[in-house]
Amino acid sequence: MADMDFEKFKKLFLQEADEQLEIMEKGVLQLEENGEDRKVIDEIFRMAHSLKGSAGSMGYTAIASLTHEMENVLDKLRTGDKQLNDEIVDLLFISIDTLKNLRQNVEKGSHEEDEGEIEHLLFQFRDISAASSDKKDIAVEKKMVLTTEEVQLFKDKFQEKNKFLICFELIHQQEMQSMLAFLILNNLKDEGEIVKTLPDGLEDVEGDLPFFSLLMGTEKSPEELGAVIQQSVEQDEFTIYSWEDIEQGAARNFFQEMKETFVRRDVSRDSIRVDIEKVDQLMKLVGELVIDKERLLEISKNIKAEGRDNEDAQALLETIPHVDFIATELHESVMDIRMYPVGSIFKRFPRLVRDISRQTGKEVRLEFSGEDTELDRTILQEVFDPLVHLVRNAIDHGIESPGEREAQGKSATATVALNAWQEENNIVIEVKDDGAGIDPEKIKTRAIQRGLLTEKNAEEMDRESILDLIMEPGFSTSETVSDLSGRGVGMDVVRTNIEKLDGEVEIASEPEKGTSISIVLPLTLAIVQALMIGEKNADYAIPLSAIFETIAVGENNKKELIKTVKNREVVIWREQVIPLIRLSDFFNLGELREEGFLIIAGVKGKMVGIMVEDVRGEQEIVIKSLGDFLGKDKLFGEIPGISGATIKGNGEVALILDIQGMLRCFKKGGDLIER
Amino acid sequence: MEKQHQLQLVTFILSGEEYGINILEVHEIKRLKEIGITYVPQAPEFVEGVMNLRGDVIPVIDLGKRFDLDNHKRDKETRIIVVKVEEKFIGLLVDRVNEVLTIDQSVIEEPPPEITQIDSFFISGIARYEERLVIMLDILNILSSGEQPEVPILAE
Repeated sequence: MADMDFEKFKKLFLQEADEQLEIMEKGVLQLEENGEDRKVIDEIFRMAHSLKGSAGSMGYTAIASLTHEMENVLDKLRTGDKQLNDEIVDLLFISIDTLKNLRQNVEKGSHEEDEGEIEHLLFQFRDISAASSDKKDIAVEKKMVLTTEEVQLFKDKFQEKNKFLICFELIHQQEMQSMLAFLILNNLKDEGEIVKTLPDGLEDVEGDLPFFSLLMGTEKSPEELGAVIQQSVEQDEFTIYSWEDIEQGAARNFFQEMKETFVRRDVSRDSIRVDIEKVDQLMKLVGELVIDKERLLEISKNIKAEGRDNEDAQALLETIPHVDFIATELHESVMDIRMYPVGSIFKRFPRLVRDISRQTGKEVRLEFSGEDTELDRTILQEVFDPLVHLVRNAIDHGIESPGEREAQGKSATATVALNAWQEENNIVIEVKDDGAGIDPEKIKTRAIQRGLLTEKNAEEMDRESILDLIMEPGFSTSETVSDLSGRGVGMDVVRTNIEKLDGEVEIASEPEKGTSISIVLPLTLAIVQALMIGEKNADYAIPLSAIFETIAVGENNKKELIKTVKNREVVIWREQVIPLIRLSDFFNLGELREEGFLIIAGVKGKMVGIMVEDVRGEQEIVIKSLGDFLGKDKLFGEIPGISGATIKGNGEVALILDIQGMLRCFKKGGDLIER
Repeated sequence: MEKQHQLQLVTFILSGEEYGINILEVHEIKRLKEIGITYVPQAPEFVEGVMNLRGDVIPVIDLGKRFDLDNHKRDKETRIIVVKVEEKFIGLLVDRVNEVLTIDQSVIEEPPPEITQIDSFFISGIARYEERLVIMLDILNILSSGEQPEVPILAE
């Protein structure tokens, strides 16, 4: 039992450590960018402190010692004993990396106790902590409220007047605190000028507000102000500090307490932490329910068709639509739990961009938009690595050196933007840079050199198809193999990974202006509407999102629909000529039938006609993989034309057709590539 | 005989020979006719198809075809042994399931190369038990090689 408990705690520890390290890293990045900021230092300190605590209680002494030393230095920063400098920032970064490694070791269960690894870090921290204090002149608590400039402005503005800091702690009033704050603020406005409040924008704060303060210049005396305030709150709920008091640090405790209250509030939202495995299990059960629901719908159709009108049959027919409704609602609710904001992976990028731009000697500003856009958690996790690759590519290959940029009249600092938005049933995540862009001519030349293209083909290709060539296996435009993106894993891997998620990669680029690469993903993967078709006694599913039209093909229309061009069968559909696949031919299932149904399907503007024997109808399907052995990079290999499987109402498995994969089996011009 | 030296094998018949799998690797045994196997086009020949194992899709392989054996029949005795190795599930189609055999580990010998029709790479040992020879399969090796290893098949 003790072992099991330990495993449970370890899991919890790892989870928390991830979160703490992430916040610490974000904090240090902010410090590097914006300079010393008390709020941020506090945040890092708190994270280091809790990590130290949990590591200590789990017996991970290396983590505990390192965080302890970090805490010491951070504490000196927060009391103003030490000033932030590059040395400290770098040390903090290295420490966070080391902590990450130690955390990995804990997860892998390997020996974590190797203090030698961290010893030099510990010494560096101790050196800094021990070095003489470089305390600033302005008292710390003033900095918490006002910047040095603000203090000067305040002093200048109200030279002869009384300057007060009024601090409130609403110990008696539990309800309507923000309302009271609003009233007090309004009343005091008549007595003088309020220059600043904490929290900022006090009037707009809603809900609980046990602590707040304001800074004002006035002609009135403290007694007069007190009388005004007492119209709203009790005498022991506020303190009026004069400017002299503040400069002597009188309000220090108040601010400390106030800060802690707000920090606590920030973390305690109305939410619970749930292991993702539990959500996955729930999702799986809902999936089963959806399958059974489809089965029930089928049964009710049969009952209707056979006209069994006894009471039970009637009751069943009435209940099934309700079950259908509940199952759909339940499915949507569970999906919603799995939705995660894209921002949760975006926030891992500032550090990455910082490191890559340092290594490459480029100046990059990272921008975000659409962080709140939500995506299924599973997809989100899979999308991180491709995004990292795209961002690396953008900085390494796309963005010019600061010198080159200035020579071209661009700003020395380049911009890389991570944007996300929803577009109908898709989520788009875009990596956009204002770098050198991609030159289609260079790509053509390269592709011809690599034998991916003949010169004749190249002539006929449109701009978009040429840009798409960079995602072909074996294509890499990087002349020098850099340490970063040119490591043999190129855009083809990005494309493959995204297509595994049923997504697409779109490239747009303008030479000298920049490049935009978009990952277009389905909102969710697990359950989709599909058309069930029948071929040689087996059922297959085609996701409805890929289908444009279904046409019954018989004696009357087959000649005008299907033609033979250069020994290849094609479909004439809405004045377009598109390639035809007969499913039994594609899968080698034997005899081909002339009649049946023609499914016009397409992805990303590329179309294909698929001739099948029978169409069974639409239904919701739960998408499953083909197991651990079938598929790309698995033991028994990839199955061309099949992307996964689903379970039918009768419990049997039906395969899902991979339209995108089928399209890829065609070369330009419609010939089937030898498989 | 001490208990820890004992081993339980699920034994089955494939083209007339008796094979055994450690019972700890066997998840369950199903009749061929009670489950629907969905044919997977373009899969390797020995892949019989995929089946539904309580909501998960798992592949079923025809062990006889996997070992290139002749005289392989399908009838009401045909069974699917679902094995679980390293958290992965797979169904093995066999001619007939025999019994659960408890043997002492001391009766297990290194496989003499000439004793069996199948590749020694797939065999972990031979159990001699009351005049019977049970060929013990190395499931991990069977499930870790996509293609047959390039060792010539040792006949008879």
